[in-house]
Amino acid sequence: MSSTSQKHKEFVAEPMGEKSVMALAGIGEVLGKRLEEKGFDKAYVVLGQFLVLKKDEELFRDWLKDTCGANAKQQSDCYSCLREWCDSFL
Amino acid sequence: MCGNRRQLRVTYHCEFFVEATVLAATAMSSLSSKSDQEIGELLDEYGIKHGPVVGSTRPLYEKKLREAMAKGSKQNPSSDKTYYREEQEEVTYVHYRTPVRIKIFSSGRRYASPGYTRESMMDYEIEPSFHRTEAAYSHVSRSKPPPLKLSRDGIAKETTAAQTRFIPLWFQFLVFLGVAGFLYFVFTNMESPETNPFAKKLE
Repeated sequence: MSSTSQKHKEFVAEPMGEKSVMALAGIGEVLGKRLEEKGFDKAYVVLGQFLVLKKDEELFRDWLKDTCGANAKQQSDCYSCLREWCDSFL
Repeated sequence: MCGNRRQLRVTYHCEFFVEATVLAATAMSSLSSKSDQEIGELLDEYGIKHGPVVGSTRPLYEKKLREAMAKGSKQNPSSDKTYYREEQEEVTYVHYRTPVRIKIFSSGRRYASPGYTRESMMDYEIEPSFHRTEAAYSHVSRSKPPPLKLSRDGIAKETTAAQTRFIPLWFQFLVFLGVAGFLYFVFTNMESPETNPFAKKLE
């Protein structure tokens, strides 16, 4: 049994299109609001940041923590979600 | 004389440390005024893996640089520091070394004797530091033997270093000869099979 959530499975199953940032695994209402305030209002903008950080786990997790205050689990979920999405669609 | 040198080293150590912290402070405050390229270069200097320095990534990299400077700025110059100290040691070493060397060489085989004394007043003055530098040299040579010195003082160094080994070496020779002699004795005994070697030995 995989340890990924339903949200994760749904996100990585298809191109993200115009999905909101809250569709990302690990990003709920609170974190989503904070990201939107910073200008990351769509999932693809966070994807852009993920790519600019060269898909590096440590950098991305640091950035996420600094930007919206995500804890370790949330960072991890978001990272693996985006990583898997990229593996399939990028 | 050696005490002075040690003090000098400590002074250098302190001065460098103060300089390093001052530099670090000024560097940290001016991070935001640096260009994106300079930030990238700084990240490389500290060995921080990074992507392009763009608007959205810059704050993160600046933060990482500040952390690295606070933690690593002590490490970077300090590693230079040890290098500097060694360099410094080398420089002063050559200074003290050369006059002594020339003197000793000109006089003949005096360097073989452990005393070095009675050569002249000058020699005797330099001698204590020479002893100290000898220890320092052997210490330094383990980490980074300077080729400059070896070429000039290699012969002397070998003899002086070998000198410390001569005493146990004689022992080794004696033991070796003893064992060899014993083995030879045993071998010659074995060459006469008519008489029972055991009986012979018992007798």
